[in-house]
Amino acid sequence: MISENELWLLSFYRVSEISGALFFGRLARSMRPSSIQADMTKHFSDEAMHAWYWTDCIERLGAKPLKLDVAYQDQYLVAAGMPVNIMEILAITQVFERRVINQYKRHSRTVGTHQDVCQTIARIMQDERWHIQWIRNALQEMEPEYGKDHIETTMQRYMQADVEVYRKTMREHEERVRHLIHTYRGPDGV
Amino acid sequence: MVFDKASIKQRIAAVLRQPEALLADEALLSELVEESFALIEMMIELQEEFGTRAFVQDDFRAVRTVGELITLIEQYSTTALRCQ
Repeated sequence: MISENELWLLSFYRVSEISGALFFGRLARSMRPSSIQADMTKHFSDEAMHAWYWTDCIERLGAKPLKLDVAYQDQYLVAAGMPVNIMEILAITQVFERRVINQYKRHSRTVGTHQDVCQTIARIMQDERWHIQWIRNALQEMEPEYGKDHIETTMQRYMQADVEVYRKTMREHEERVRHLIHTYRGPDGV
Repeated sequence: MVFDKASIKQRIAAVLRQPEALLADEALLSELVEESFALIEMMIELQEEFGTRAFVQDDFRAVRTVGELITLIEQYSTTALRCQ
């Protein structure tokens, strides 16, 4: 069995992946066929699979996923303003994907993390690297249309928002990861 | 292709799955769209539809009503036509 803290974290990842899949699925439906739409289609299918990986992982660990009402994506919109074109959507996604990768890395490096959790994170990380790559390429291709400087400024704006969102919304996630580290390593963190 | 107010409103109604009769110029977008992601989805779909892919956040920030959105799309499509 897993602890209440770890179940919350794995359920949080699961809900995040479901939200990502739904968001990109809806966007892909709104777009005309193009290379961006094709990559977006793969992206949301990956996220849907990741949600399934977490469901499967939680059940293999003898638990049931928690239903969480965590709407951190909305917090991003509040902090950064609503993205109104495809470049802004990809820019905010790029910032958010980096944050997700860092969270997964941190969790998998926590001593004592169950092998099934580490394997699930490793499996997801392979796709996450591609997500970063295709969005980076798409943003580069958009430079003639939107301007390189404008894209960089947009990225900077979203990175600032990310810090704000992380400070507020992700506090619970951070506290639970800290608790895991404390549990596995002891109060001195060693 | 020129987009008039009626055709833009027709498309907004289709994207929002709302009867056109509900889309008075003064109708608030926030009351027509159930959540923020639906608003983003609508923005992308309208830009794809009208070929005005580069709405900027600053312009959209002031948009609150259906009428203001129609005006924005008209402005962008006019600019796009000038650039062709």
